[in-house]
Amino acid sequence: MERVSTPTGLTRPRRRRWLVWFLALCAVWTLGAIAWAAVALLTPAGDDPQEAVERKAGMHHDQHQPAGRYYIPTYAKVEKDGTAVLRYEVGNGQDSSVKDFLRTYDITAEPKRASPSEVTYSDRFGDVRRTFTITYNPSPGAGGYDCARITVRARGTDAS
Amino acid sequence: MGFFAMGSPAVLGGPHSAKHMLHHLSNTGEPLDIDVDALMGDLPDMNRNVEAQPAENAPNWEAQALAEYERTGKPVKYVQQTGWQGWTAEKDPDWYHAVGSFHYNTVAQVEVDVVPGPDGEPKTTIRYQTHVYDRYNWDANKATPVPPMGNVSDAQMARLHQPGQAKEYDMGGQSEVRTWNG
Repeated sequence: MERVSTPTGLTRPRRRRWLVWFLALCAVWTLGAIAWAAVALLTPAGDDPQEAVERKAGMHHDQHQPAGRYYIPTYAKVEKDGTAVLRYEVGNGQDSSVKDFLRTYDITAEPKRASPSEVTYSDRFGDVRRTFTITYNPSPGAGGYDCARITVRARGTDAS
Repeated sequence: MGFFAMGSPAVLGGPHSAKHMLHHLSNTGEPLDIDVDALMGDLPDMNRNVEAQPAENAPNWEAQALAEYERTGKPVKYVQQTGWQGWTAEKDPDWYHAVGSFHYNTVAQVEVDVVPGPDGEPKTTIRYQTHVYDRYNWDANKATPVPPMGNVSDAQMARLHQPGQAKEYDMGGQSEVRTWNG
């Protein structure tokens, strides 16, 4: 072990100096980790790509807070012309149905029948014009359906 | 998720939603009783609907009971019910997360009293009780925003049931017996 002389004549191992630097580095790293965790927890998360499309179409849960539970789109994309397209699949139960979907997203427009198994709704959400196309998959029972596919097309009125 | 469930009364403001979630995570699958009187107390729209049903059906039920009484001359007591109907607890976040949409059926006992009332006519009494049923399970393609966890999808919750880490269950209950006297 190499010893280093000091002005007082006493010697101190060089190893101790490295230890001090190492502990200082650990403390700095720990403080940095704590700061990073604090920033990560306290900073609101931005939208992921799917949420960005939902928000553009006025279908994000933040935009319909009273509902409490929301549908997850099976497809979410912004087309080249800026139209946000979302697709959903709903069942025919109480918790997942076309009626529940309309209630969740505050869609109060009058339906228009496009075909025996297809109905459309059109409305505006802020500056966004939206069209909902609901395609029912009929069930064997009269007048019922097993599931329905809902396509939402939303485009800003300023064509942005 | 269990840690969140314990704290959900503070986050979502829901002791009932916390209780139901914890029962799910308890992995027993045992049916859970719903306090229907508390449910109807917290959902005044539903309560009004239930209380209106005896009044709406009373003329028909009374007519049937009186016809039977006149035919037999004996006291009449029989049961009628409104049939299962659906309701969504959308106005109360706690119950919405606890039961969401559920079914209820009001069963009424219609009784024609042999001893005539003050006006000399047989007296009809309708006692009714509301039954509630739901299944605590998860819906495909739905999610719930859970601060600070972010969106928790029903598919994620259903994955707890599949390997046996949590269990879906039936829940139900009945209200106290109420009396409709016209």
